[in-house]
Amino acid sequence: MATLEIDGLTKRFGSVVAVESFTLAVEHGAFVSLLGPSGCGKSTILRMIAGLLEPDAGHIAVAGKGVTWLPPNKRNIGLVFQSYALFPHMSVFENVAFGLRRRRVEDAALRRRVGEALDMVRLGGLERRLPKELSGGQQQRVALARAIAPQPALLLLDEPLSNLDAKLRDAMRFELRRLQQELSITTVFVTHDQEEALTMSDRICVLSQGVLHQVGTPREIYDNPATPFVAEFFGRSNGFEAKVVSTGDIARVALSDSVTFETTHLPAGARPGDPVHVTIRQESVGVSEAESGAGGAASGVVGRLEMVSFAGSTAQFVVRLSDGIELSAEARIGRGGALPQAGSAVRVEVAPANVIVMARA
Amino acid sequence: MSEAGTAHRAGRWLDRSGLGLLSPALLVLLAVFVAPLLFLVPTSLHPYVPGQGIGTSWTLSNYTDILGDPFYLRIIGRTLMLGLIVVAATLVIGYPLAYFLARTRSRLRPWLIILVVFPLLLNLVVRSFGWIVLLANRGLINDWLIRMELIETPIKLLFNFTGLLIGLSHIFLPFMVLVLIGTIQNIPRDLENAALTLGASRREVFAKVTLPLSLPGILSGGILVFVLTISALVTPRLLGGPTYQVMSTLIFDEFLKILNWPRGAAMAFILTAIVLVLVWASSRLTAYLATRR
Repeated sequence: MATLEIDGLTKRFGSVVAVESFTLAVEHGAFVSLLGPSGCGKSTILRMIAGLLEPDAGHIAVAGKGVTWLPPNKRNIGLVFQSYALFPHMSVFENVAFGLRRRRVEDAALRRRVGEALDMVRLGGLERRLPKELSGGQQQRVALARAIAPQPALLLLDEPLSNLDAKLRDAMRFELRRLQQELSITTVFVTHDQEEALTMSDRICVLSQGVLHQVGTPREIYDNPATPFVAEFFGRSNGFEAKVVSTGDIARVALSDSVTFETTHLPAGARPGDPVHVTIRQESVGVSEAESGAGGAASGVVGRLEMVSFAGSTAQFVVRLSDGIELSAEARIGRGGALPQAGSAVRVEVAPANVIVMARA
Repeated sequence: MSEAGTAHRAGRWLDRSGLGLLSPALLVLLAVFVAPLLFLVPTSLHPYVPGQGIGTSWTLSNYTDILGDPFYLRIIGRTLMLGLIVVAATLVIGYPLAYFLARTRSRLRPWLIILVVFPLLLNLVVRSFGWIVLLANRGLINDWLIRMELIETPIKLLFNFTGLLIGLSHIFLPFMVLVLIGTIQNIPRDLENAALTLGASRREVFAKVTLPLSLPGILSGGILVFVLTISALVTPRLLGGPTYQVMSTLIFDEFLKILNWPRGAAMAFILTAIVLVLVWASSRLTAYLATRR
């Protein structure tokens, strides 16, 4: 039985649909991310799970028990806020003890469990500090310790890393994941950061404008996006409207009359002439000077390099192909490696496996 | 050191201290508030000679007479008690109102706040007469209670403590509410939500989170209303009548009716001293609370 079951969850604000019939089951001990741009409804879903917002329709069950209409204080769910929401007038100890005190845990056990929670987030010894005397990273750990101390059935994290600076954020990612696995606590993590979701999650739900686009492992989502939105949400990519030219093991799609690419996976049942959406990630585009690739004239497309920009370990290219099609590329370059000049003729190659084709809705 | 250099340095000091910005307001306050007060200091230390006016010898008897006379002590006590109870009343009535106004997302919110402030736009005398119409022995409230046969003889609601309490609470409620709205708005909603998700009931959320974090506002609103109440003159005069005195009406009478300026001045200083001690204590308390944030 899944620890968290959500069925047909819907929320409207006036005429705006914030969440549209969201359904998800999270098995015990799993780490699931709700990923999407701001305003996609991910935080709204989290607040409904926590009970801070009432759904217009749908059903939520935690550990097999329906909680849809229970107030937040009766749900046994831990929530870490983006703002941490530490009680400024209470010491670190009292903040972490807050949930335990509400559960009438007796004094000795309370002390032990607060100590354990603080040790787990490596904050032992700071019990008597006030939140304002802690750094952002430490405050974040206190918020985490406070949420896990009462041993909730479910842990919800609302963009907990977004207020930390980049270095700390990377470190906290691994720490959070380690802690989650140690406790094997079922976790729902809300984020707009694709890298965060990819590195931390067992499964990712990609949302846009209140609609769930795809659920899957990070690998599935990245390699086999179900919709153009999912495909283009990860990394930098190029999106095109295209048509199927030929099918088969190595099929061919046409972006225009003269620009075509080979691909190894068409959507099931696609036939020549079908309109499709093609996504090509920037890092999978190879750019070389036109003369050098003379032998393989059949593979690749020739174009003119419009722009080159140097970005440290990589370089960004913008190539204009025939029929006015623009393709952006990102390439790793070695130290001192030569860069083609803007304005020169270049050959663009994309491995057929990297041409992602999706049916157009 | 040249003269220009000194002036320059003084100018820099003014810039740094911020006193340059304060000085216009400071000068006005010094001229119209502190100076007259200081002129009263010698007055309060001269004896009053009936029939002649202010004597020329020096004495502390104005102060010792007031502080040793049960009549005056009773009025000082009554004034302070009135202040405390008005603070309590405005707090009890004002807190839920302020909480609602601070948290509501209604489109009517600006209008509701105007409604809270509205009594301040009416003339003090008009408002007090309104209360007289309502509270008098043959006033609306007593008439209605008698007609409903809830009471047989009118309850005395005017020219006593009750009348002052009702009138002053009404007048100073907006101050309390406005101060509290500011404070409550600054308490992030997430704090209350966090407490809820940790298992706190609504009552516990209020007692453990909202109320402790509203303390600075309660304190400053309380001090404001207290000081306004014990120094109010027009309302106590109208709703207390000529006989039910508080310190401010007594000072008024000493100056303008009895013409005993020395005693009036001494009483004014006693009132000022009480206010200063309170303001000082509250600012210390606020600073203490702030260090705990």
